[in-house]
Amino acid sequence: MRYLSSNQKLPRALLFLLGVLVSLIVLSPIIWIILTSFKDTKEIYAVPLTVWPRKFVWTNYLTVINGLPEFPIYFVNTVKATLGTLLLVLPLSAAAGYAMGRYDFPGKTAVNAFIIAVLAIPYLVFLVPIYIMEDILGLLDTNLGLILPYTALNLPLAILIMQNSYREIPSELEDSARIDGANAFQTWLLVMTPLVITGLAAVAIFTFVAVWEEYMFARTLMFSTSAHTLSVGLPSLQVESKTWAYGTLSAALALSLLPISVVFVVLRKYFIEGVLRGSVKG
Amino acid sequence: MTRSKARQTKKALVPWLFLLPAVVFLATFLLYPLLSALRISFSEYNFVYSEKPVFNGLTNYIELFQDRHFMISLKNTAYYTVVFFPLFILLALFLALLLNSKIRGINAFQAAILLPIVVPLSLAGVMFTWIFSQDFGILNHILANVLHLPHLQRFWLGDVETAMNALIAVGLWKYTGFGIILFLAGLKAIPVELYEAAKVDGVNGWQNLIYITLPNLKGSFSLVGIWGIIQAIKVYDQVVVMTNGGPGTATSVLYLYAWKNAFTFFNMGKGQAIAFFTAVLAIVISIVFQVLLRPEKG
Repeated sequence: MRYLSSNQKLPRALLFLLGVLVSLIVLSPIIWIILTSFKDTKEIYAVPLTVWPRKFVWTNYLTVINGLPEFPIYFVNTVKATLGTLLLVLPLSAAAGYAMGRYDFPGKTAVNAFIIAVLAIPYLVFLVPIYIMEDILGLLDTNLGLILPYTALNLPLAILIMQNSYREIPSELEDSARIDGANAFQTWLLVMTPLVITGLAAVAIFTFVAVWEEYMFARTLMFSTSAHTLSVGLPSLQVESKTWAYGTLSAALALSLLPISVVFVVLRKYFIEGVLRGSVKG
Repeated sequence: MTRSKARQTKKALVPWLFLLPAVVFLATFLLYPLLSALRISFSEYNFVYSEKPVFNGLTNYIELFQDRHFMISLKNTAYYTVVFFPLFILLALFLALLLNSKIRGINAFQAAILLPIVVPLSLAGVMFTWIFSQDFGILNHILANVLHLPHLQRFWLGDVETAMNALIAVGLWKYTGFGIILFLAGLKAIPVELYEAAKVDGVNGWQNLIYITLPNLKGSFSLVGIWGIIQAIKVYDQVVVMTNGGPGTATSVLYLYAWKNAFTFFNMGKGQAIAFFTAVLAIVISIVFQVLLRPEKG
């Protein structure tokens, strides 16, 4: 806390302890799931509960990997939806952001107003018409049926972030590329876009997280097990099957939280950047 | 003359070529659905029985206010928001102040405290269902065997008194990190000179907080506040996973009721009307908030 003067040794030690304590409290649900995932079934349902496993066992992880065909299916579906959306959102938002950030043209104000307006509208409003549309087009229950709406839902914020990134570049660079004979496409791709990598990284991790955790669309547009993503599949297994002991479920949870946690811890800076640049979003 | 006009048209065409792919997506999956949604909300439309939406004016909206279940959902959403909002702001501010200090291990603390941001809310719901479980939940275990307060044990998610508060706790766990990030940015933007000048004047830590830090965070309060209120009004994921509106209607919220109308009863018109009602509510509240906390000019 900056308002504490720097020569106060005692508050510093106290602050450090507070940091440890708060971190532990925040992480405790995750720690609890991980501890549970290493217990055998008998211990999980023991009365009274044990916090630290008496004996660490890998059984639950082996069950998830060998005896649970749904888990890899959910995992692959989630990865497909995430990568598919990223592959569309990144180039589309870079191109659109370049036009919005570097050009003045008729219709720009309207596009900008629309982007700001849809950012304020909760997703649920779009769901019924998209469901009806996908029913007609035969997109329900397909990977594409998630990737297309996810792309559209993540584009407004992505365009806004890219628009600001391109705008910050000094115009001399663009001018000199033009003088060297580069056309608009080359200028965009080869001169300008390498300078907005931070913006693209922010868009990428923001979109990654949004798709990885999306629940309402994934639950509504995909109804068979073979099309479910992790965020929908794991909770449904908890409800549907009595054979699903919490040991297996906690191992599955731990495995599905692992990739996104690693991505977050490593690329945290860009995610925070994305939150800040996109904080106009409702 | 014509040549320069042609060149001008061509010049206007270039940005539109860059925009086109994105605009196709926005038009197909956001603009068209938005207009279509508006039409459906003013129509009688059962997805199973009706051939197509039949215009019925404001009927869906008027009927909402005669529907007891809707009024309960509105009340529950209001309760969720009123409890969630102050806790969200206070926790986020407190943790942002902590994470803004120059102590050892600050990077590790930041990673740990912000991590719930990326845990899918539905999976957080699964985790907390287990934690709140009556017989095998760690919460009841801690109350009974660690704190020796067995009378505080509850059937947290099955009890009308506690179910909603349990959902709020999950919402706070997931979302506080976003508030922290916004507050941290605000804290970093306060000029160091203000604190240095105060130090010369012999101002102590708490006075610094009250007279310098908080007044300079006004913009952040507005952002965090709007963000928090919108998250509260559209609460959905953890409700579906943990209680699905129960026990009874104790945790039925607007989004859940809208979804059930549209996709359980296939009453698309009514579901869409609730969705619009909720959207307008969120937008109006955030505008009011923005006006109230607008930084003074000059």
